[in-house]
Amino acid sequence: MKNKILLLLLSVVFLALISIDKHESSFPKYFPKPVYQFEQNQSNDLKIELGRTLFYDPILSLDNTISCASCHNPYNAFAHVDHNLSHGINDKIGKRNAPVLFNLAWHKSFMWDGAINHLDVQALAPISHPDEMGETMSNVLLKLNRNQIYKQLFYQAYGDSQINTERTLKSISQFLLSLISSNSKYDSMLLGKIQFNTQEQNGYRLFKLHCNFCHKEPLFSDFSFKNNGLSLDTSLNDFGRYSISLLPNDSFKFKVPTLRNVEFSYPYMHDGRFKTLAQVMNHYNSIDLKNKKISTELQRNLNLSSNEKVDIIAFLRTLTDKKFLFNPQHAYPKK
Amino acid sequence: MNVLFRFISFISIFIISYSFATPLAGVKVVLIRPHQADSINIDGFKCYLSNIVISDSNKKKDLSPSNYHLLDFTSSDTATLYLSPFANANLLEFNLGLDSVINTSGALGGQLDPSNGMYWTWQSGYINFKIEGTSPHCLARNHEFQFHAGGYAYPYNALNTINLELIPNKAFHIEIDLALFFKLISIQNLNHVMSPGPNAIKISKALASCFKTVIDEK
Repeated sequence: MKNKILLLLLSVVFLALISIDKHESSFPKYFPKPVYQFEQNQSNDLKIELGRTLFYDPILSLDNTISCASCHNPYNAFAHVDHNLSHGINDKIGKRNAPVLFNLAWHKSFMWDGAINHLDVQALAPISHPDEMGETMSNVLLKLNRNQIYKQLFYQAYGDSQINTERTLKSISQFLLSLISSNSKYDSMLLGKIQFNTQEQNGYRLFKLHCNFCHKEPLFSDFSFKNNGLSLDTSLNDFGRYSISLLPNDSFKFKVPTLRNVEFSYPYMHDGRFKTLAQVMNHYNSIDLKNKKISTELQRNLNLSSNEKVDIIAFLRTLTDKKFLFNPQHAYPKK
Repeated sequence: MNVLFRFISFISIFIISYSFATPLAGVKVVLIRPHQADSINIDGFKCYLSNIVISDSNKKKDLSPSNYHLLDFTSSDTATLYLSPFANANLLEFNLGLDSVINTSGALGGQLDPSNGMYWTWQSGYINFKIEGTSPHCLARNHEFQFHAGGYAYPYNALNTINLELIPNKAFHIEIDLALFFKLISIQNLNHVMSPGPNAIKISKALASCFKTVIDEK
C-alpha cells in the first residue's frame, strides 16, 4: 500500500510537469491570462478533431440541415458573411448577427447579451433554439449513439465509446479553443518583426485615442457590455443585456466584439446593420451627445476627418490574420 | 501515459470507495398533492436539493457523498434521498436548488446533465424546480400552469436554504406540501414562470416553506 501511494504521488508530480495544456501554449506571451480553465477539459488532438467533426456536422440540428458552420464560416473568422441575422432550420431567421469565433478562452460570457456563462454550455443555445437548430440535446445524443463513426471518434478521444452531453459539449469546446488568431500584421508589429506604414501608424494612434477603451488590445475587446448609441430596430425590439440581467441600466447594452479579423467579419453590430467599416466609422463620428444612456467613453465628439477615418480602417486591416482564416486545420474536415 | 492515467484512476476509485464505504440511509421524500377541492392537477414535479448538511447540538457533518440530488416525482409520489446515518442529529439543512458554483461550472454529467431537462439552454443556469399541471382556476391556454424556477445571479438568486428540525435518533421522512404552495401563490394571477427574476424568487420562497419533517410512528 505504501508503495502504491508513493507511486501515485510520483506520477501526480510527473503529470503536473508534463501536462501544460496544448491550448495554453498556443497563444503569444502578450495575451492576458485566459478565463477558460483548461484543466477542467484536458485537450488532446483527437478531442479537437472530434469537436471539429461535430462543428461541421448538421446532425446537431432537428432536420439534419444546419451545422454550427452554417452561420460560422471559417473563411470569415467564423462569422456569417453577408448575413445580418443568423439563419436556422426551415429558413427561419434569428434576431442577432452570428459573431466571430476565435480567442474564446478569454471571454467571460458568450452571446451579444452574455446569456451564456461558460464556453462548454454555449453550444446548447443554438442547438435548442427553435430559430436555429431546433433540436434537443437528448435527441442529439440518440443520433450520435446510433452513428458508428461517432462511436469510434469518442472511443479514440476518451478511451471508451460512451457518448454523453458533457463529452459532446467539451469536445466542441476543444475545437473552439484551438481557434487562436494571433498572426496578424499587428502581431508582427508588436513583436518588432515589421513596421506599420505611415497610414497604419496614424490609424493606430487614433485608435488608441478613441477606440482602445472598450476594444482593448491585444484581444481588441474588454468583453464588457456597452450602449454604443445604436437606435432601436423596432422590427427586432432587442434590448440586449437587459433581457438577461433585468437591470434597467443594461438596456441597449451589447457585448463589445473583438476587432481582430474585422475586415472579414462583415456585416457589423449585433443586428448586422452596417455592411462596411466606413459606415461603422460614420456611426461613431456622429454620436448623439444628447443621449446620456450612451457609454461614457463615447460621449464626446470625435471630429474625425475623412482621411482619419480611412487611416483607422487601414489600421483595422492590420488585424486580419490570413494564416488563421485559411488554416486547413480549422476548415471542413475532409475524410 | 494512458496506462498511467488508468492506474491513477484505479487508485483513486479504491481510495474513494474505502473512505466512503459506510452504508447510506434512504430518507423517504413524499409529495403531498393539493386537496381535491382545490382542483389543481400536478402533472410533473422535479427539484434539485443540494449541499445537504446534518448536525447535532455541537458539530456539523456533511451527509451526502455527492451533495446534489435531482428528485423526480413524475411517476411516483415518493422519492428517496440517500444520506449517511448520523447519530443524535437534530438539524437537517439543505438548499432547494443549485448554487452559483455549480451554475457556472460548464458542462457537467450525471444528475447535473443539461439533457435532464432541468437546464436553461438560452440563458445558462439550472432550473431549481419545475411544477407543471392544470387547474380550472388557471386562465392560461388549456388551463395549464408551468413554474420553472431558477437564477443564481444577483439580484435574482432564487436559491433557498431550508432548515428542518429532527428529533435525535427518531426515524423521519420529509414531506413537500404542494397544497400549501398553491395557497401561497395565487394561480389566478400567476401561471407561468420560465426565467430568473422576481417571480422566480417569489415561487422559490413559497416552495421552500413547504418542506417539513414528519416523525415516523413506530
